[in-house]
Amino acid sequence: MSSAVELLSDIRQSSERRPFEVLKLAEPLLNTGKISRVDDVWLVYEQVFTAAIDEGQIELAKTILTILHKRFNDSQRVRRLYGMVNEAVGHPSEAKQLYQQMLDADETNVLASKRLVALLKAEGHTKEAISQLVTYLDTHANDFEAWLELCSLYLRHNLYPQAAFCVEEIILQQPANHYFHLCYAEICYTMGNLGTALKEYLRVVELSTDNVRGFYGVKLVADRILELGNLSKKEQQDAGLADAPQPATLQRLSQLATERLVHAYNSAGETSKKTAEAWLKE
Amino acid sequence: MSAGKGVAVAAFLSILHSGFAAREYLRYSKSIGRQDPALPIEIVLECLISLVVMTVAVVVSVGNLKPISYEAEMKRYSIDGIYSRPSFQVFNHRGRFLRPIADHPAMAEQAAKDKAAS
Repeated sequence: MSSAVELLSDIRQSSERRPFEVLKLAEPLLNTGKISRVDDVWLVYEQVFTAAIDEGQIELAKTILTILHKRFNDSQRVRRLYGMVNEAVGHPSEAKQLYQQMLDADETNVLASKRLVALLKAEGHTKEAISQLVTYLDTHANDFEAWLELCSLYLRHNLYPQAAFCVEEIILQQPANHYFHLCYAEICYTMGNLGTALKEYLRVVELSTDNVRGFYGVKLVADRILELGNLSKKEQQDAGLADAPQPATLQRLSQLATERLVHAYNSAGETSKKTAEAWLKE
Repeated sequence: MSAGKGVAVAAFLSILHSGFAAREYLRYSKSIGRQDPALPIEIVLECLISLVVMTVAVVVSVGNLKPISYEAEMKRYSIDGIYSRPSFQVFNHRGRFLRPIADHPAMAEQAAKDKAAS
């Protein structure tokens, strides 16, 4: 039983969205009533609540909400959960009203303003969501989650320079986190800014050991720059290649990436190994 | 592991012993009226050596040490977790229809029909 609690806590801390597993793990805890003996029982309740509305089990969510409401009578965090139930059952206007009330009472309420943005996104009003999120980020500029959300909203509209700016802000906050460098590199590569993309992919493989996605990126970008060959000054500047490495260096980078990828796939299954090798030979 | 703990305890007792010896020495010096007494080198050495031995023994016996590099810390996070943005989750998605067939009577019926049709 305790291992289920540990697994739930692992999932909660990783902030991955795995509602089905959460419900499977929490079901015996809820049915036997053993959940009340768990250390951080209220966090588990909140986690199971989110999983339940993700899986469309509204009844379960409402039961948990009653328990939470009994314990935390006038908590804003619990009020937000009421709004989330309304979102899940398809009453967005009521949810919006609730969040607006919460903001009227306290306009610095982070949870409510984030839910309002999510609500606009769910209704498909991406542009309004973007402008609301920009206002929010004016005040809470150190919220990396919000910057990441803004980045993904911009990407929906193919606004790559704006999205790249958002990731730059996150990288300023967490310069050693290779996932953000990876995101930035991929956006730069899509924009055709090959020089920056190469540097960022190299930063990714520097910050993490044998990062497959990073090495694929290095190989793609290095081969692409070699393929482009001699460009005019203007084109070079557009692709960010003014201070690009020499062709010999690029070739060696590409070789290195191939070598590390072959090494990484040696331990993988037969099919994926074959696919990877076929791709690398091209 | 337990040998290391034994050594640590012995070294700790030895530190206590050196402290006790130092106090005894000072009391003796006072009673014979010696001015400004300095501690004998044996007591100082006993104290310092047992401190070093205890430190090493504690570090050895404490179990496996955890890596402190940032990369080891980052291994705990997955790309899905970092990119997931839990406070912006939306709920008008197909989640409620994706329940495994056995758990959902209506879906099980549908699956049986599909099977019969094919």
